[in-house]
Amino acid sequence: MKRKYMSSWGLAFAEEREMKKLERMAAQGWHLEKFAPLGYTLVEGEPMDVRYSLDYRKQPDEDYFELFAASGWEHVTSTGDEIHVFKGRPDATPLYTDRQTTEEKYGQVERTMGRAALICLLLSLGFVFMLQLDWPQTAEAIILVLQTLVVIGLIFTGLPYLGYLVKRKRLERNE
Amino acid sequence: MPRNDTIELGELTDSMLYILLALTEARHGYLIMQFVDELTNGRIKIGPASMYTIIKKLVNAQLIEPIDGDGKQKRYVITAQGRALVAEDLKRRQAIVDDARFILEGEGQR
Repeated sequence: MKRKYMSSWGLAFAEEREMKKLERMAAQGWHLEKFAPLGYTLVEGEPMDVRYSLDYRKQPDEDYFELFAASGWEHVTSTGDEIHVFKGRPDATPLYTDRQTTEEKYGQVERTMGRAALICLLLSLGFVFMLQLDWPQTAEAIILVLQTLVVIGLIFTGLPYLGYLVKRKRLERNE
Repeated sequence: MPRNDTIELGELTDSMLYILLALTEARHGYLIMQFVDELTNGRIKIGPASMYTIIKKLVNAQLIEPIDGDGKQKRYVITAQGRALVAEDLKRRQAIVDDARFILEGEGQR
């Protein structure tokens, strides 16, 4: 079976757009198989008219997936036991049908990202401060490497945090 | 785990109210969805993610409780506290309808 890679801009920013793109790919016979680093792996099959939708839920129980399956949403794949993608018929009832629960979908992941980003921010400020002091050369090199890692961590948590924040604000304003 | 979240819950949303009504008889998630769909002739539909979120919330607020059963999916039933809150919520909704009727048709019972 042929596979192909589809890149992702990050679910915090492009969830709707990428679910739509996955639907277009499925119509051409390329079906989502699993998450890949910074993207998705698609596998070749019969063209199908389907809807993709995702949910955030930390360590859900069996009832969770059964409820979705009974409502016409087949579980496709998950990542980190938290982000779950479902595939449904075009006429299936959407995963979220009221505003309060839709806001909560993003509220929880926003808080998690926000906390992680804050920790990275404090750590990187700590390293900036440490670098002001005199260190032996090797110690300084290690601190620089750690500093770089933490900044990368900050980018990958801080940007999604802002993305979810904007999304939630937008939900609050209209609809 | 059981803590009283009723106040945090605020007013019942329409979905919450319909789920509580469905649970005057023990049902599992999917049966609740079907019940609400039939009761409202498809006017109100509740998606699985909304359903799952609301069930967890109502359990935490002790408005519904899981019952032991041999079925695959967990079933829930409304508690006395849940019934009391539904009654209270109906009064609130009735008051809104009465107010609106009074203004629009002059036939509310005030």
